[in-house]
Amino acid sequence: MIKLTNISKYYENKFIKTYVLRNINLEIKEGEFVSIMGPSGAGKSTLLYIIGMLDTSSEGEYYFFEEPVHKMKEKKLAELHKSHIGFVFQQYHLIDELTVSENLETPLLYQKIKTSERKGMVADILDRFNMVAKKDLFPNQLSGGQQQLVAIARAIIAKPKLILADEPTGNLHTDQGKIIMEMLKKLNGDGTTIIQVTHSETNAGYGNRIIKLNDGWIEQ
Amino acid sequence: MFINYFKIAFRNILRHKGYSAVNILGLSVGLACVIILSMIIRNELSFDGFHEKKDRIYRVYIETKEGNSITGAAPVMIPFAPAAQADIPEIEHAVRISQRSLLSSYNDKRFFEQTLFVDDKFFEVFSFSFLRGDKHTALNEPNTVVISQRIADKYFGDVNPVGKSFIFDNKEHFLITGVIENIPENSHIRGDIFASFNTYNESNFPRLNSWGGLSNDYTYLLLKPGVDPASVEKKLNQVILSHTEPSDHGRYTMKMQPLADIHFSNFIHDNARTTPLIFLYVFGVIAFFILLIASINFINLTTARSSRRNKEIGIRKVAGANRAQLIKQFLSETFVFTLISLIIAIGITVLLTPLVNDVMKQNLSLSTLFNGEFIAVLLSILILTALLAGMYPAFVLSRPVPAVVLKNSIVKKGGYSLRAALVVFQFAVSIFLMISTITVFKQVL
Repeated sequence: MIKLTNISKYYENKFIKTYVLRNINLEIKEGEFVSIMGPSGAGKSTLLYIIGMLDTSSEGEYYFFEEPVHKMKEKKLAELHKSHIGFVFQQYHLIDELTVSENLETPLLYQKIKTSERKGMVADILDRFNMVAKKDLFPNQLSGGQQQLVAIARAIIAKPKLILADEPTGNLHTDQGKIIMEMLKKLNGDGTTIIQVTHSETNAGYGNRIIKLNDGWIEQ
Repeated sequence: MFINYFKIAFRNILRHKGYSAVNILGLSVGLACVIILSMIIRNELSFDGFHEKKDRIYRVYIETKEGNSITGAAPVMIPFAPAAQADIPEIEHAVRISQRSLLSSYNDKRFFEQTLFVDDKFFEVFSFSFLRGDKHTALNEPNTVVISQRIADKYFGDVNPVGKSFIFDNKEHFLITGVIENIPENSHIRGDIFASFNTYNESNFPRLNSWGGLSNDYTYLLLKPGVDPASVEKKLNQVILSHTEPSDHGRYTMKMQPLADIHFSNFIHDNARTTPLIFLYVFGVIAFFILLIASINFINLTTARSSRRNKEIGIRKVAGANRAQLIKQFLSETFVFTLISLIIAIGITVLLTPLVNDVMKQNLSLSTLFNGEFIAVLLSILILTALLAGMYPAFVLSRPVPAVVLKNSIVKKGGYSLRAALVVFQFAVSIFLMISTITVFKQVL
């Protein structure tokens, strides 16, 4: 489903190119649970963002479900990634001014789903995650773990085929982290492809494949 | 969708109370000025608009040439009106107003009052509402008078004045045959006592048949429907020529002005209430600049803080928002701000109206503010301001956000030079307006 050929990303500053990713060749099939690991600055998050279409590569080709992402305009990119990809960030990134339900509703709003359908999907997700009691609370009233759960719920509410997670348990302590990983595992079991960036061997253990990045290259 | 945006807008306003207060206050003051200026302009433009036959009413005036300058004078000789009526078939009625100050007394109440002597057809030309009496016949007889409600209250209290008599000048009895509503503030004709012109005869009114005597006498024409005013104007001079000596010909040119122009005219010896038209243009320009300054203020405050919202915008984009949706969101927020400011501005206007009336010699009333047409004006001010103040911030805020921001929430600084330029512009306009105000003030004093 994902095919990266010769992907590179660099930043130019007065004729000096600083490479963040070099010559990445990668194929990921549907249903995989992949962990990208490596030291700080290896380019893990950048790779994730490129796969998630939040960033563009400087060189190379990226095919998503056989469509050439590297050739698409911003509008088409937005269409594509909002319907197929869900993102989970390390800092949760919930909108502080909205309640939990409203945060969950946000992706659906932008997909032009009818109000009654939206309410239904939100209620459904709240139920699945056992968060019905918290639906009118604001993010700053929740614990870190709960906020991350909401972030994951938001990422999957539109039923994406792919979930990208950038150090999802980085800001949580072990117990909370465990709950998150269990949830991701379950989702993978239901058919969602998951790619996570992580430092932790334990977290990587939940997946079925590990890709090691170092200094912009994939370590074989 | 919009309800969602409005909810967020409200919550944002409450979350940042200090900033919101400053922003809303600034906008309110600006809007209040704009509203007041609009009310003044509207008031001035509405003068004499209440007369039913306003499209057919004209005032005659005299143009004289002195060297290179042309002057207009409002007074017209008394015999002109009946002569014109006789000579020009296109005139339905020609009526006169002749103004005097007389001592009027009833029982023990005596005051000097401005008294307007008018022809019996006066109330057929001008639409002043009769509360008592018949407008068609009230002034037919000599020594009759129609008074306003104000005068009726002053001399007669609750008693019906019709049938009673005033004594004018300690000697003449005038029968009261009608009571009219107080003349509206936006009328160029001002008066409370209208006496019948038929009272005048050769002996008590020397000017009656004099073609050379000019005083506080004004002449109006009501043209028949469908008549071309230009053709009538050409015939006016003929009336003078046929009734005066050849040696006097060429001295004056008779012309006429439409009713709507009277309030803005600039004639000598004119008792009508007038305002120079240029004032309206100046007010309009000032209103526009004040609105501009207030909007620029809003723009600056909003864009200066825009970097705080980068995170939220990034998240929304990840969640799938396209630029158009973000722009709609920010415009809605501006709209909410503007709406709140407008409501406060209306409050400020209501409080300031008496002061404005005093200082600017206006007669604005709250009914001007709250009638149907003005609501349309208010709505257009609302939308114009929301767009003016909201467009630029909406575009700036919805700019594509680099992924860097999401990774480490770095706050980026940008747009500084435009903001600086806008502030310079604000100061320039404000200083200009202040200097102009002081200059005009010193001249008036």
